[in-house]
Amino acid sequence: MNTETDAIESWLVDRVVAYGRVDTGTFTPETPLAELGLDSVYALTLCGDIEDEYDLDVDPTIVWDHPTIRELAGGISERLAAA
Amino acid sequence: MTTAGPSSRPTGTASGAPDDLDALFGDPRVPGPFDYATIARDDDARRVSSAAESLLDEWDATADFVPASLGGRWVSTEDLVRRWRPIFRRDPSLGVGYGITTLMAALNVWVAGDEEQRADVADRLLRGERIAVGFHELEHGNDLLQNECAATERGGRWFVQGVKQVINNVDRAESILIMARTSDEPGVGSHTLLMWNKDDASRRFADTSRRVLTAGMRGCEIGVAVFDGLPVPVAGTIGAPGTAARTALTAFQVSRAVVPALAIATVDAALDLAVRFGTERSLYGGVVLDLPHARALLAGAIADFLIADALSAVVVRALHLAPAECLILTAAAKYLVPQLLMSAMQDLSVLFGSTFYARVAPYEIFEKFFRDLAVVPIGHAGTTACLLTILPNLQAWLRRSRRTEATEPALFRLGAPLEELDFGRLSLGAGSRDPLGAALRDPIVRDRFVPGTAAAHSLDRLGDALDDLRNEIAAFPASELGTDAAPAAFSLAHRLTLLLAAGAWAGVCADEADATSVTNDPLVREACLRRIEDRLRGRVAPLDPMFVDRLMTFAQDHVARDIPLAPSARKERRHPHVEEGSAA
Repeated sequence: MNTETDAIESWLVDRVVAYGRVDTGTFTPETPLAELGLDSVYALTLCGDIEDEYDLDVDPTIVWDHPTIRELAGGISERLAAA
Repeated sequence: MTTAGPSSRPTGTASGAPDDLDALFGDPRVPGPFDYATIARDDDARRVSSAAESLLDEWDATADFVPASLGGRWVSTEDLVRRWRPIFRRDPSLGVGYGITTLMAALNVWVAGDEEQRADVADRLLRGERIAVGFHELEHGNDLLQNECAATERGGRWFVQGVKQVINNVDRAESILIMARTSDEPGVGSHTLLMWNKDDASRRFADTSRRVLTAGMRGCEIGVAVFDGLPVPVAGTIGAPGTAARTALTAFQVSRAVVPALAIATVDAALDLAVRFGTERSLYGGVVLDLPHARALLAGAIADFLIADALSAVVVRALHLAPAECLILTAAAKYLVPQLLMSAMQDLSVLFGSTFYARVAPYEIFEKFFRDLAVVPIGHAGTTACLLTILPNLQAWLRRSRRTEATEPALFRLGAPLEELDFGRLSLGAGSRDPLGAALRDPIVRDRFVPGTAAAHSLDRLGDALDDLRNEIAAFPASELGTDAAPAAFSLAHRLTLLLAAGAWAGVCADEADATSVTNDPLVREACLRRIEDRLRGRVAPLDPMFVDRLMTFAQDHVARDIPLAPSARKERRHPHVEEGSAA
């Protein structure tokens, strides 16, 4: 994993905690977001956060296709590279 | 989309016959095989006219649902709507029963099917076959992700077990597109679309014989499918396993745009009948339309109808011109247009009075229209389900809306040519801009409303209302925009749909391509904008008499000339006179 993906991953962990439904330390980057009680509405909120942070328009399928924080970080990184 | 060598059909009908269904069906007010009286009788008998269905067979009606690149007639979705509207002017249940649910099923294949599947479905539709949409389970309504009817794969075949309910054409359709649960996990990746082409070998594993009787759309053959180990070849999987939800959410954007635009034609016919009734029926020493209350009711219904027409027509064009934005736009249309149309029908039912509930000829068809239209807001994308689609996207819409400076004039140029729809450009997000909201502040639109006039002031107030809505959404916690959202959140989404409708109306008015259109009339422009302002406040007051008189003049003139009221239909004639000697 490169440092950029690493940074995205830790940013995502912060966002998930900031949403207020799970506490730090109760999950890993490999825990499926669905298991954290984060639903499709959260997926859209997260998409908005991604847009604001990375200036990248994404739709919720990115979360469906990358259901863990680690995979999602990889997905964002790929899109940034392609942008 | 690629061409896959389907059988090609000539467009239109057999030589000599007109291609326009209005001409083929004939004037429904004049006695004939498909007149209003016959349609009402067939409805009582819970059937649709077999003569009309034969005519649609000959007309190759389902070729309109097949993209031209696959050998069909579908290029512009606006044309598809225009061609099918004569059916909805006469009998909405014929439109739905004959074909609209086949379109809904086929859309999933156009979105997610492989080349071979698309070619096969194209061939089937061009042969006039039907496909039923086997998605619905009464237990779960529009909450598709909870659906239980399941399929398991063994040795190259899926085996389907479970029940699908309230499925149109379930018994007579040659195929059923089944949404089956293929994983026990919760969430969006647990259902798969399976195309079951009925054949003698598999038919005995399914019972589709039980019919469900409905209050509206009585002619539709709606029923139940019970699957007991039904085998479906793996080759019938539409899209990858687990992708049913995303395919359906994409495909239904098209039907969410098309269905409200077709319903416009039914209300157009109802308004026509109401004007005739109000001019003929004597009451209190005059006719109904001499009464100020009756005139105000009818004028209010016309204003709602004009707004509904603008929104539905622009959203149909958006499928081609702003596809990435269509998740929100089509949900807004499918939510608000049926609501406006039902409100108009409610007003007309008061106008018809005893003629409505006693079903007095020749106006008995109005009571059927009323029942049929009541089904439109339920259907495959219910009113609340549409708001729930918008809710979680409000924050994303806000960001797009704030960065959209100008609108796109082509969206509002009703009837201008469109290229074939690119299903791959429809998205499940909020897209990248807000072309309808932007129309309220667009410099060109504002200029056409003539600054300083009353209509321009109304437009400015609606622009301010858009700013207010944005600020309220910005302050609303994102975590409270899910299915468990409070009524306050629903109200935000409701107001957004009204402001998008205002943008559509303003944009259509500003187009000014057709000098004869009622959308050029300053009073009509203002009447509709003020009607939207009223609806934003949650209180619809009777229209001012100057608006009433202008709207009544418009309607009576169009009825006298026998042309539809909808500005989106401006190139159509209601009952074109067929040339002598040709079949009618």
